[in-house]
Amino acid sequence: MIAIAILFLVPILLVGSAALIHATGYLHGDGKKRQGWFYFYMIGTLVSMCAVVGSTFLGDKVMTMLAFILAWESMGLFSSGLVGFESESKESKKATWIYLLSCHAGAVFLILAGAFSFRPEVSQVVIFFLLLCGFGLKIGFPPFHVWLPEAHPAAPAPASAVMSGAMIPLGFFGLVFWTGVTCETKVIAPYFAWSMLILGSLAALGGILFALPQRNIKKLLAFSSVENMGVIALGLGLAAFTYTQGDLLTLDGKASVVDGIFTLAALGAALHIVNHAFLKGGLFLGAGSVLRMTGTLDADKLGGLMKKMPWTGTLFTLNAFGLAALPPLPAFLSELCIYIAAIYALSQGVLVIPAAIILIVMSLTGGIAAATYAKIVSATFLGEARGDQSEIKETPKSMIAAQLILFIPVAIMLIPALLMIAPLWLFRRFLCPRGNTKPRQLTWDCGYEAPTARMAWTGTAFSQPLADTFKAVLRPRTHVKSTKDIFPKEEAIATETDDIVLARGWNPVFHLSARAMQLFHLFQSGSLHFYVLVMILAIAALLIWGAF
Amino acid sequence: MNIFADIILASLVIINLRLAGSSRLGTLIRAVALQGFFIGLLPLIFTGGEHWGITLINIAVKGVLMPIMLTYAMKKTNTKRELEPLVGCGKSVAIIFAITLMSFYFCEARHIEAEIATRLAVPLAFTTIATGLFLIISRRKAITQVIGFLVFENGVSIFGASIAMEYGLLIELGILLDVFVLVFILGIAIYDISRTFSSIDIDKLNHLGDRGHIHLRRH
Repeated sequence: MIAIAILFLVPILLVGSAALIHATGYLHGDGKKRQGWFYFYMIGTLVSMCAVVGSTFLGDKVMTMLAFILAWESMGLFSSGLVGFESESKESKKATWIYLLSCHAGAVFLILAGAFSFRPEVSQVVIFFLLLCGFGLKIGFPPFHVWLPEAHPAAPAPASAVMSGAMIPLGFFGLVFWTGVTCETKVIAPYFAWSMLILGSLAALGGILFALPQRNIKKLLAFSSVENMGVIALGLGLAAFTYTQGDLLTLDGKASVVDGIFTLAALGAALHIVNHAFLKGGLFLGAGSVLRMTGTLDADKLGGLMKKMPWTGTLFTLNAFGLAALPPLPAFLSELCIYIAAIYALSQGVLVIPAAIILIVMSLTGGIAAATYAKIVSATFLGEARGDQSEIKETPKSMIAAQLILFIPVAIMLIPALLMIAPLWLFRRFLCPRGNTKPRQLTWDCGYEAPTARMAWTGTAFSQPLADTFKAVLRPRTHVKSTKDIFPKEEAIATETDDIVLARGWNPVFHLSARAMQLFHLFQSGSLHFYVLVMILAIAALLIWGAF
Repeated sequence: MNIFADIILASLVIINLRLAGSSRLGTLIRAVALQGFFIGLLPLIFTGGEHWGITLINIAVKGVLMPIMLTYAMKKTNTKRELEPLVGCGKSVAIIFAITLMSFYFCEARHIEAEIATRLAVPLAFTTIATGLFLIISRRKAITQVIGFLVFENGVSIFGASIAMEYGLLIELGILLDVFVLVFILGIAIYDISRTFSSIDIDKLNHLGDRGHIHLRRH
């Protein structure tokens, strides 16, 4: 138990401190009062996150439950203050509203689950699914993920880093802990395993598919968080499947197989939680630096930032490659554990179907993730600037220092790689010296130097072939302004990909319920006489009901 | 003894119809004063001559003091008649008549009878309460609303006097104090309202509510 707590506390504390350091630069120039509110919300969020972990050590079940829900709710409230911190814009207000709604819906499920757990007549399966809904809202399993792509772009970057890196995985902590406390392992293991497998596959594939065409860096990172939560869920699911194979433990030779699968899968999930916290935290902080220095998060309007912001660019790039699970970077290690577990299960003929699904989903996800991060890195930091960047300079040292803290895992994993590359570099440096007579050229200048750098490929163009392949799922909205004249005129094309679950699933539900609630306005006519009449009729109805 | 109570209670039926059927505020105030006087007598009759003090207080407040305050408010705001009631006077009489019949039928059917008082007491209490509420719903002027509230309270005190003798009267006194203070405050409030809105028509107060807000949201 203490090991699991440390597993979740390390991201909270490290990402939290890095985010606080980054915030000193990020909020530079804001008023004192505004900064004060930010630190109030931020530290409140961090403290209540620690309280969520700490409350599980109380021992007594009722006390634990109360303290946990209290800490969980205050975490949601403090962080909604962070989401709504830049509440001037309409999107930010909408995001805060969605986030608050999802927090409270989650709390409702948790309180219901807690109340039912004291009633022996309520089935454990019901309690588990209530817990799954409650914590799934925080983790961001589809179709509950809608708050993530809204809240993360709206929140200030340090807050996004904490929320994405440390807060979302707490959902897994709560889910595993409370399932263990309220349900019997034997009964619930198949439900846990299958729901993790199905929801994890949906989250991993759906998250990365919707991340691919996003132009807003933070929105892309938010969708990528959904994907990474899906990967963690797949690992946990595979680990949970081993509990359904309990009878194999008695057979010769099989015991070690099941144990091995469990260890590898659980290790992969745990490692991925830590890796994702560091890498995604670093990416969000990098995105915050970009926003701070350029004023926009639209990757198609940026470009060539590597020349102006070499530190931020390098750290962002390496973090992105890390999260895309490219070897030898950390996320590769954690995904490799899950891969090996699945392959091992397949090769031993145990848990064939789940292992096959996990392998297929994770390899597809990894491929698209590589494309997604290649797109966002190249569109933002490589190539030529698509706008005026003469004013842009490297971020303050505090922001770089914050990113360096979160860079530790990547740095550790890079050391052996650098040792391998070093001889090659030395070889090239000393044996093939290069003359510095070459004139400096534009990057990726495919004949576009003369008119404008905006004619170069954008991130959207880069991701278009893949996005077209998955058009049926993504349903992008394309606005084309073209001319049919003989002579060329101004033309424009813009593509947006909305979250399909929000647009086609939840929004109609919300509109319908709002329409239904309008019926109650009939009673709110504003006429005093009518109010008194309604009250009297209600009392008369009660009287007659009581009398007859 | 019961015959006196029955006569008083039967006369309350007529007073209720009179309250429903009149549009002159002066008539309404006189009718409510008479009703207050009769209802003030009820505890005396039900208890067979005890409770003089309570009877006197009841009659002084309901029969004299409050009508005087209402008359003062009426003169001060210069309103004589209830113009354009939401439900016309003829229809009002018919409705009150129907309510009276229904409450008698209701009490007969369910055998709701007070322990001590006569069979008339409970249905008439219901009728008087309904009349008061009906006045509140169907009239526009603020003074009529206050009168409706007084009638409503009279109905409650019939109920109290006829069901619970000993403790009921103490509670009744407390309620009486409340009602007195309420009418006192409303008398002042009505004057202020008429000065602000140049009318004591409470429909004019409707736009003070959140209706405009709702209209905005609906369209």
